[in-house]
Amino acid sequence: MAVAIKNLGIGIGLRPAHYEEIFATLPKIDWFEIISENFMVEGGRPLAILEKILEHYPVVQHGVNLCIGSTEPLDWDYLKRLKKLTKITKTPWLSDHLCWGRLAGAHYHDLLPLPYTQEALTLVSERARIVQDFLEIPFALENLSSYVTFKESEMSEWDFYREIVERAEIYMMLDVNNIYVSSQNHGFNPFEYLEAMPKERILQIHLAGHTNQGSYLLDTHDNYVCDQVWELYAHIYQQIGGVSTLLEWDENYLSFDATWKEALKAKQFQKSLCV
Amino acid sequence: MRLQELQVAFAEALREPLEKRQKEGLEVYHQQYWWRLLKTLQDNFPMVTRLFGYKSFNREIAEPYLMHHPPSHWALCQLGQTLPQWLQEHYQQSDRELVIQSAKLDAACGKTFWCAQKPTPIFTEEITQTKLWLQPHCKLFLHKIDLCLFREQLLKQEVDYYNRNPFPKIEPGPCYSLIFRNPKNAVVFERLSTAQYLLLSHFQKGDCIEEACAHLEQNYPEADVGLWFHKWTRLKLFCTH
Repeated sequence: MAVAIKNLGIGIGLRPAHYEEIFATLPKIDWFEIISENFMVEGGRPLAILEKILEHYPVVQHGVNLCIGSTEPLDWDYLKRLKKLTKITKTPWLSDHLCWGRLAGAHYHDLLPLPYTQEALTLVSERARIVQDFLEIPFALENLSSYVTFKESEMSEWDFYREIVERAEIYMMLDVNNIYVSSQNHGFNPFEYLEAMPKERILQIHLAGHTNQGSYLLDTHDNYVCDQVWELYAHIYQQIGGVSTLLEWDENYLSFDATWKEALKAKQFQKSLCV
Repeated sequence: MRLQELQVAFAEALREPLEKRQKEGLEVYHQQYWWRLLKTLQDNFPMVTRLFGYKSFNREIAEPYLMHHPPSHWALCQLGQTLPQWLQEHYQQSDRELVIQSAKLDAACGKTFWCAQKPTPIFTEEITQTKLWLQPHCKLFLHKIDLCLFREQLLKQEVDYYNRNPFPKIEPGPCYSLIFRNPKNAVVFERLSTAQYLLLSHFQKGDCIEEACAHLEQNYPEADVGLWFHKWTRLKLFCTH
């Protein structure tokens, strides 16, 4: 049974490029998302920055290195540090990616895709349940942008994703840009993907820009959100009836103001829905 | 193919040398893997990167190092902590000593940025008999040349600047230095006198002020240790573990 998750409004990813502007102007923004690993350090500037941010804004944690789909045991040292950070940030939920990235002691520092098989489904859903129980806060997995498909796959990405979330009784961090990128790379209908989502389990939406590389789209987070992604966002947001939304921008940074304006497009759209 | 076998095959493809092409799709991951790690290693070793330039740094240092030492930690800020040791074993060019010492300095500065600041002791009269340690972010260096100043000047320019311009002049040593994180969380270095270096060395392994000063007085009776401790405590350089 999914618990009710608060809608925090519109947020953007907290990035060092904006620190100066944020602390100089304390902009009126609903919330910030942080990359957990950037703050899972022993001391220094990252923790001092976090402390200052927490004085003014709600913070939600989003991670990149949990490696939920890796075939080796969960990294309990990592999980303990992650939980320690949740006590500092008081994040209302925590998310990471539906991927793997660690094998035989090596970290690949990427969001590597899984085949959509029963074996992977069982592995990930069991581990996701353990992670959520350990963290003692709602835990969500984010769908990936992907550039390969596996002949081993036994189901669609959306069936795989939905089944994991429902079986583990966790949540979805739905990245609509990732759905669009993968739909173009692999030739499926992104609206069919959205229709298959269990709406009550979506606790946050990610928006971002991508880059057209000619033969494929690359999830670069360095560009404005394209019209097709806004269209997908409109479609799913209407069905959910309000969910925390976040704009990711990770390279070729704009000023904080310009980034916030891009995020606010979502806010304007949400208001128009309520009319 | 079982999931584990598939991940092993995928990981092997990622770790193939950068110049080896992979199938379309997999090639995206292959390139991202290498570009991300090379960029991180350049960021973590800004001094060494400037000594070589991007292209040579990647070819001569980063790629061979990463081939044999893929990241073993989830935090990218820890990437390259074993690079100084690897250089010692594998880098044999005429500038070997400069490169190795630069890598050690870069690694120390990186670690100083993120490692712990432990609670600082309250300085009362009894403190002189309490065992003290340097904060985990403090690192002492003795160099044959003024490497810390050289690094500071080198980092004022971007990597590509040195493709067409000479390096800053290296001043002769010996130079005693302390790398630490100041109260504003900036990583800085401070030049030390021989006596200051010897005194602070006592607190790397833990010592009480009384004993450390007693050792120092034998060779440096004129040392103004009161003034030094006043400054060092203001910088919160000590902890009691």
